[in-house]
Amino acid sequence: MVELTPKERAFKILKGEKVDRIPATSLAGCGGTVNVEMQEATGIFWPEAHKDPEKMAKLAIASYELTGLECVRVPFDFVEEPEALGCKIKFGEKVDSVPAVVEHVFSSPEELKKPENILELGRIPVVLKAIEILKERVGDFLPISSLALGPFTLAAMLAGEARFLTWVLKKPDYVRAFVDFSTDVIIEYAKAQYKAGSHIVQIGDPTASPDLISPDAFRQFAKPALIEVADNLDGLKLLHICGKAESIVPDMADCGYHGISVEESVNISRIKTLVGNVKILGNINSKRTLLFGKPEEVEAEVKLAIASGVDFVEPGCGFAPRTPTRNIKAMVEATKKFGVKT
Amino acid sequence: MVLPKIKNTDFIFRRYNVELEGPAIPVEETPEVKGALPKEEPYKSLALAVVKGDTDIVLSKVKDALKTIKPLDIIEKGLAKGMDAVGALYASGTYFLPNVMVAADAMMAGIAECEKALGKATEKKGKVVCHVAEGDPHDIGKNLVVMFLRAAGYDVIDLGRDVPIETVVDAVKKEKPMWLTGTALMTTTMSAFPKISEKLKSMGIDIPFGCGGGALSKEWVESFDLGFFGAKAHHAPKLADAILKGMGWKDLRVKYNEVVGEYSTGKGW
Ligand SMILES: [Zn+2]
Repeated sequence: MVELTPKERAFKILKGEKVDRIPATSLAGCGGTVNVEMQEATGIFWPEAHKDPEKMAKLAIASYELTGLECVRVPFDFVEEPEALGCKIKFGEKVDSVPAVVEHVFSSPEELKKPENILELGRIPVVLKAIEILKERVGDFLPISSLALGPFTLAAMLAGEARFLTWVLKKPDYVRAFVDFSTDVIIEYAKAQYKAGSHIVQIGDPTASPDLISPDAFRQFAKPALIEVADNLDGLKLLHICGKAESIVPDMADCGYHGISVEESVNISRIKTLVGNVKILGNINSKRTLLFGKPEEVEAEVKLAIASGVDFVEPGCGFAPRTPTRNIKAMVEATKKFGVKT
Repeated sequence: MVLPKIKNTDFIFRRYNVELEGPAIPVEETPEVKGALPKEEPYKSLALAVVKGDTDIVLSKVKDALKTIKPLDIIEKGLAKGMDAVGALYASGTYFLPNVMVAADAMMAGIAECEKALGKATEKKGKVVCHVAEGDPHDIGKNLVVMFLRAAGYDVIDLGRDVPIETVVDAVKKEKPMWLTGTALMTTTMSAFPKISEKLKSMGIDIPFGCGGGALSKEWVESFDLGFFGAKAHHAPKLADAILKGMGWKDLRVKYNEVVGEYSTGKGW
């Protein structure tokens, strides 16, 4: 039998078909797929690579070439939508600085206005162009995933997280208005990502995690919007929520995504029976094991994740920028060793 | 190529009929609140208004109480007890961040009203300097620490987020706090903490440096002197009380669970 390409393998799994083995990927997560060593090896560095489609695509491909990771993913940060909508972003000057929102823009529903040309604003054109380049260069062989924010997370960034969280109790109508607004933006952006050539759109909604809001609040505010996003996207789609998310896993699985991405605090064997046909991506510890651990520890954790029933071996929340390449390689090699289906 | 579409008709139904679970019992009946709330009025209602995060009720009850009760008693026997209950509810997983934040807002409004009556700021138990690591813009954890400490009667110098190492060291030199806290959510920013510890040591300053936040673990924080790991924001008042009584960073590392009265693995991640 001809060996499957990483792209075929990922597609088949998400569609519920049988495959030869479990892949090692990082299709979802707040952290990206690029570390500092990859920047040094290619001579392409952050923050420039966050703003240049050619550099972004090259680094994404390097993450495959230098580790064997079975996918490519862009962007490497988390703030394209808030930036396009006017939030002030700090990019940082170091090769391991992750761009973050430092000033928020909207304080009431009346101020919310969606620009006509959102796809042309901020770095959204950069990401779309980078996806086009990836499609051209590796799109026949590797699955390309791209990130759009979850509506609750984008809404919180637009209002300022602290203020937004108090609105959950004090001004639920504001929360709904901000989440509705964000939902429209995200659908438009995600559709454009598919059009540019992305195979899989990851919706990352970390602010909807039980680490921050209650499962009740998740069901009231975040879930309906996640369902609306999923309903409007025709391509393959994933939902990532990190933190201690086990209490909302049945809700996550019910939102209409092909797969859910969870971190190490979630017990995979326990949730396996709760998610139906929805695939599980995870849940190697991004910090303790991948960032600070030894290759042997990565291998042991991969073995456990596979035995517990993950469909894709992935970091629980992407790779931190200082994650050693040898640990990413260890994740890939261990997956190939233990992930063969019999 | 035709991509598959997951069809699950039931979430169309669910979208428009989101079930509201609500707590099984009213918050005032929970063991956490019953254990922390004072028995006698008006302290009990004052504390309960804080627990519920209702600023309007807190203000009207404080104004009422000020007619007969000393401002300091209102804070210590009423409002602060409410915040203790909030900490316990947060620890048990009944309360989430939004509840804690609105409760703290209500509490601070009540304290401000008492201080207005007093004509000055209340006497503080001790001084704490709080900051978020350089490069890190995430300040919710630090804000909670600040709120819990202020609610418990501590004077907090809040340096904000993304604070350069030099600024932290200068503030400690100038303010002479009994305790310094640092929080970091991002793994790329935590390296500031051992550098701060080094500089403080080189100046002969030996204060506990409580570090917490998503990026850290107990093991890592204990790899440099002065550092001890803070597991949860609501532990801050009990830690401050212990430091006030003279407990140093070496003891805090060992006696943490005993001091905060809760078990925590210290894993952080
Ligand atoms: Zn995440």
